Amino acid sequence: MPWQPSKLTLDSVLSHLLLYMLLACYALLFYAGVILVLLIPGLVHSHANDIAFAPPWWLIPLTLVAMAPTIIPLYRWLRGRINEIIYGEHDDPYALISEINAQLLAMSSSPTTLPAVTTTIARALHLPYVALVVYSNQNNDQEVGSAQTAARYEAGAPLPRAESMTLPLLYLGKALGELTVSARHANESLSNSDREVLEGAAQQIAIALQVEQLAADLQASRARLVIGREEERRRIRNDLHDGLGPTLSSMQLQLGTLRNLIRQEPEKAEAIAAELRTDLRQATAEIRQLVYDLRPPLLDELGLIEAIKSLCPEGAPFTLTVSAPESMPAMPAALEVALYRIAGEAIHNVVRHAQATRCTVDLSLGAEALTLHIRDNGLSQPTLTPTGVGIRSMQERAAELGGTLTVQPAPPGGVEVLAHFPLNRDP
Amino acid sequence: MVRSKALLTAVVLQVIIGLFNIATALRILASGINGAPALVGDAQTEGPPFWAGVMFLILAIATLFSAYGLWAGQKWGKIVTIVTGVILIVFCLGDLVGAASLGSYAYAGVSGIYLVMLLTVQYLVLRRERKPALA
Repeated sequence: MPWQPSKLTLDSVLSHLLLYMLLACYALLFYAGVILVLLIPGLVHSHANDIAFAPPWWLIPLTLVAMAPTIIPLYRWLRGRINEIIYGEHDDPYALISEINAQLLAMSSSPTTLPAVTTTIARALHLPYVALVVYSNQNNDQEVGSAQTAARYEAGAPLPRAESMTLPLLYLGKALGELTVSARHANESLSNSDREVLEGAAQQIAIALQVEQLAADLQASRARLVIGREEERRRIRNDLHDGLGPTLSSMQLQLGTLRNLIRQEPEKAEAIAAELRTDLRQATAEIRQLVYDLRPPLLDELGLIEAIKSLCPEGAPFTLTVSAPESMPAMPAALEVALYRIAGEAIHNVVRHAQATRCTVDLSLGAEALTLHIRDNGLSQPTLTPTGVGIRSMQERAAELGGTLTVQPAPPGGVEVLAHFPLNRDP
Repeated sequence: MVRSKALLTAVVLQVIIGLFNIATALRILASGINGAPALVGDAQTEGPPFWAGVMFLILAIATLFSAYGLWAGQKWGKIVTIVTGVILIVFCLGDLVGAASLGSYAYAGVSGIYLVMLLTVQYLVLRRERKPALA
């Protein structure tokens, strides 16, 4: 059922009662003031001479005429203040925030929970209109009001001429959405207590949205992992099935023919044996390539440092210097491969583009991070496009392990690649 | 809880009003028992009735109760303050006009001061507390 604020409630009755009591009190005050100012000498004279005092007939009309210009502004002011006290004062604002928080904690999905949260805010604060806008998860630097809207939930309808307030839903500086509310009556604004409650509610909603977004990202990441693993398995399967499999089957047939021909036609058997040897060599090469694609064998044979040193091609126009701490800790296989591949890509770029005479690769170990620094003294590319395939692949390799990678010109000349990998988490 | 100067002032005034009302109520109640000294007006009107004393006592207690509500920052404190204030203002106006007409300027002066205190409390309760705007 769509939210609509009730018109007749205990609060509305109390609000009107107080308002008209104060207006009546004001009228009496004004009347008494007129009497005191204009009629006291007459009163005193009547009392002194023991004469009955009768207020003149013009007293009441005069009072009404004098009071008329002030009654409307006073009515508006009193109505605003009384409404703020009745509806805008919250003796226990945290109870309201807790109620909203309880709904958010039970959030199973945005489409069902966020409309309920919107209605809860409207009902608890007696607001005629509450709107909750959730931004789409496209970029991290969204400004309030400028990002694309993924979803919008509303309770009630905005009041014309009533002040509205928009609160950003921020989590660690990132705008996830916005909460818009309308004041309760036209020409009125929200109270300070209302703002405190709404700020608290906005913080809770922002946290809940961030949690939901993280859960969605985690699920997407898991899906990508599974997809990537299955794609890898399919590639290996295809390589084996389409490449190695037919080769081995063909070799099996040739072996059968060889066995039949070896006594009767030795020359033909020798030719078949030569073909078999060629096929075997090819099959071995395919297996080597498969193994290399899974993990570079040099990492296991030589270790990381020596493997990086071996990346420098023979006859390269630059000298490659690799430095690392004397005792490198045991690293996860994924980290070793990432370091090796990044170094390989960077050295490959130096060969192709840099025209350098010197290239250094430095591995350093901090308390919580491992740093890979690759620098050359060749050409400084004035514009390093971050969207280049090689640079992007290096950045993705670093990001997969929770690290960062930057590529920038290194004065006075050359380019440096700087990658940081945290050591406190399991890749 | 951070209490503004306006709120503290309203609480102090409300406590003074409440204590004054208690003294008035006890005087009215006691006048029927031990013949407490009558005011100028009492001599003319044969004194206020006993039920008036009870009513003033209830009002006085409500006034002190509302002062506590204001101090605690509760919504009901403001509502009770407004209600008791309106009732006391009406009675005070009668006292003021009556005292002025009877020539008891001292009593009128006291009533005037009392009225100013009541109106000040009402204004302090109704006015909006200033707070920095949201960024």
